[in-house]
Amino acid sequence: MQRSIRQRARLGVAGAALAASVAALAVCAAGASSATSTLTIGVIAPFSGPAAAYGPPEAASMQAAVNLINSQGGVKVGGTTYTLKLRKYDSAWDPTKAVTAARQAITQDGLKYLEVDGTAMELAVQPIAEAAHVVTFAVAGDASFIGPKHPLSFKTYYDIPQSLQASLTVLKPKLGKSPLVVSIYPDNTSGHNVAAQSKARAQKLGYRYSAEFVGGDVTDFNPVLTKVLSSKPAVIDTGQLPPSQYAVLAQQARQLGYKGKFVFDDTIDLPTVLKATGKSGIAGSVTSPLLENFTTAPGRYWTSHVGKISGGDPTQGWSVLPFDNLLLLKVALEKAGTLDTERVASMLGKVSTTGALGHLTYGGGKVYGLNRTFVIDYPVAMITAAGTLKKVATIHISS
Amino acid sequence: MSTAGQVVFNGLSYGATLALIALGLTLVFGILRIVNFAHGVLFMLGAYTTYFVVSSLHAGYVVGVLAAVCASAGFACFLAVVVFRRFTGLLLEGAIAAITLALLLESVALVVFKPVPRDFTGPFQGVVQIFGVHLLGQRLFVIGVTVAVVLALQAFVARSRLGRALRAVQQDPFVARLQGISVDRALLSTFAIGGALAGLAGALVAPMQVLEPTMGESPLLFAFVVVILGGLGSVKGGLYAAVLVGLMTSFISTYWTPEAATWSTFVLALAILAVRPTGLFGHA
Repeated sequence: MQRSIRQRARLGVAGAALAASVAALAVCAAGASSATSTLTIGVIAPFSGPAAAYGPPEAASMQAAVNLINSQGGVKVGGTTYTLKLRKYDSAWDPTKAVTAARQAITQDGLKYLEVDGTAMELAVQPIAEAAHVVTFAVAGDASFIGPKHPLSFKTYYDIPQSLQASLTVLKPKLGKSPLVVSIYPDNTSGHNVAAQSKARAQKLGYRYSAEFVGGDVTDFNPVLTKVLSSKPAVIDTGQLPPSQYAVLAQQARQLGYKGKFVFDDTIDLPTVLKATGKSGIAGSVTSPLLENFTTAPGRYWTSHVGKISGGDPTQGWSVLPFDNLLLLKVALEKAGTLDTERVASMLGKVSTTGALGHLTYGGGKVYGLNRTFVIDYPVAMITAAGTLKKVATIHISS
Repeated sequence: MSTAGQVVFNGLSYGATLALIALGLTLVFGILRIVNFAHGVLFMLGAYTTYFVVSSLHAGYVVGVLAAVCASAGFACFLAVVVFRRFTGLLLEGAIAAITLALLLESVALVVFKPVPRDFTGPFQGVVQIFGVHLLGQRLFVIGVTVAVVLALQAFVARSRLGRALRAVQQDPFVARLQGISVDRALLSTFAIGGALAGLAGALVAPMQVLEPTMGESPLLFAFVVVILGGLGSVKGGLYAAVLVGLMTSFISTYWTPEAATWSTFVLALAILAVRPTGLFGHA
């Protein structure tokens, strides 16, 4: 009888302990469902190849945004808090490699939000992304990939034809009547699209316009420059060419006796160009947009932190655009209350926030049918004789 | 600027580079019956060697050129001993081995040199203007060095003991061996000369363009066209074909488009081969 009581007591204690354990596990499980999960953003950018200068600062800038957002508590979607994570893929500035990277990101790694660098790469990746309901943010100067037929595609970049228009507006008073501007663009779909748009904008300002197209692997521009210079241009526009190409192009143009101006309307890697041409080679040329000296809180954060991340470069002001885009994405995710990409994409076209560039929103609905492109003004800088950039004007371009 | 004159000068400059690459190729094929698809890697190695000697060691451009020649020649000999010695006279097997080797070496170069564009400034940056033609210093240097090298090569092949030995091996390796000529030595010498020429070409163009591990692909393609047009194994034919291709490429790039220059070169090669299958100066 006594053993039976002791046995019952032991059983009771064991049962209580088991119940407590189960309860504790249940509590832990319940707590885990409101604990932090991870949301991974992919970036497909050139970390090798002719545009290898673009990938590292872009990825570092996005990492800076990831770090900022995570330090502020992450992204709260529904009842879950998400820690952001960034995963990098190398496109090597080659659309076929971008497609391979996209397949890996989407199919193997299960990513739903991708940043893609380059119009040609975005155009190649877009069908795969759309089929998988993946949102793409393209750091690309062309706009042919956005619109009502592509509601999940966003242009996280300024408009190169608008940028050219801003630069030509600044140069026009210094040039004669009907000056000729020649654009030397990549020989791909994006290059031809941008050239067509640039032609319209240049002619609206009273310029004559022509365009030449070169392959991505061209390193000797003497033949095409010989043709271009025979028409005596006042301005050579290098938009969309990577730094390794436009630096050599500028150098060889000067060697062939070209005395006119250059326009770098898709950011400028000034040290690379100066190394090739010398200070006198590009003094008086212009570039836009000049993205630097950010005064907002996120802008100051970016300036002070991006250089500490591998590949980050606070002098590459254009790389602040993907940084700002992630801040806007955070707002859209939280407001949508879901990770569903269709609803988040719809929300992205409606929300706004303050980023490094100031008031941040997606616009362009009147022109493109959906708000899917960043709206910015164009600060134009002139390259001084000392080899520095000096802001000379801010041009507002109505679409 | 005189456009026509500039086109001719551009074409001669490009033709000179092609000549150096193509002559190395045609020598290796003519004497050893090996189609060396890894030749473009030797060109790239020459360019990178020059870059590192000038930029990292600060040893001067001429030292860089000499280092490039030695490096490419040495590496070519290494490839000859390790790989190509087994395929002498075996056209198909040698070609497959060469293609595989080229892909492997390019992959290694991507890892070692990193796929980041590099460039440096050479010493001949001056420009001389004559009758509206801008004669760039580096391009004049390329043309001058090529002329000197080709003349030296012609004299070497025609008059030197080793040159006569190489011609003997080219005609009949078995009989040459009976005459006491070392075929192995001929193999090494031929590869060394071919590698040196490719490395020299790389060193000469390096200050004019951006360096990437894949930079040898395009020139190799055009060099093959030159070799085929000029006749496999013909030094004179290779030179004339290089000038022809260089001028044609320059002309079409300037007055039409650079892409048209590429495919039209192949059209020209096919057209000439249809009429003369051994090339302009080749022998059946």
